[in-house]
Amino acid sequence: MVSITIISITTVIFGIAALMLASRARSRLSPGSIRKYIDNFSVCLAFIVIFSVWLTIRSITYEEVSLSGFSGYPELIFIVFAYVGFVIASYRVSKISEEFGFKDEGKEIQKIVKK
Amino acid sequence: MVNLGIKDKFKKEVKNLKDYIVLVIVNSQIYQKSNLEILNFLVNEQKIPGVYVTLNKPFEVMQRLLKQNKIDSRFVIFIDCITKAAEENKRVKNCLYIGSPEKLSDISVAMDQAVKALPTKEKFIFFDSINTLGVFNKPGTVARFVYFLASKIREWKIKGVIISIKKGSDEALINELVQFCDARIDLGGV
Repeated sequence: MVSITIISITTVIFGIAALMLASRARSRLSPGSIRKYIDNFSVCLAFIVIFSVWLTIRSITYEEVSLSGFSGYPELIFIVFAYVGFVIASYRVSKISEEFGFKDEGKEIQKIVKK
Repeated sequence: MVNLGIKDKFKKEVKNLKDYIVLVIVNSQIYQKSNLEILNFLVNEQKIPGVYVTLNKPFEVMQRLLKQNKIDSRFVIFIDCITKAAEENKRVKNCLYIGSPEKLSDISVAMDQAVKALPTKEKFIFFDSINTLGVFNKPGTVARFVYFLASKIREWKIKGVIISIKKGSDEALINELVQFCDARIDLGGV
């Protein structure tokens, strides 16, 4: 049980470190698509960190995992929100690739150059 | 007198350089003409494809100007930072609308992607102009961006033309930029 607690606390520390790195990256960027993507990504990360915090608290307080009681629901909700966030972040990445992808133009230019 | 100089002056400065960064300081009266003549030299004479980052004239206007001056616009990918698009970053053939000169991160990513998409060994980037960046961004931010732009042009091993309009240009910024450039071309005397 102690080892699970240590693993949980380590996970939370990694999660918070990742959030801090994302926040630093965000602060360096000017407004735009990339910064919005970091926002989406940070929200997903935040839900996963909250999920880990919740699990850690439960492992420290020896709370039983049960879907029949109240204690099981929040972690499910956190993980569902994290996945919804990931879907939104992935959609944003696909939009970014549509906006910033110039491969087709490159191919067109290559055709013209070869003529 | 002004007419004869622009292209020849540019040619003379870059003739011995393979990859270069050239800072072109131009008088506002001949600003448009200078841009078109340099573009004409790169696209029509040297047949080099490139990326044109416009912070002053919308893509539609640039396309019209290129057509009027018989410059092959198919060789150029435009990054339009001045037209306000309804969507966030609108995309049309050969052009990405960034929407604002404040979005320096987006401009950087767009330049990187556009340059890397060009299939030829020789390519150019035309940055028009550094002054407009200063209107929308803090001087420190512009200086950092200029440093980034210069280092990227070196990294990409391409030809870089950076336009600065003479009137009202920030001397400190110009001095900063000159350090990274292989040549400084002054066009127009006023």
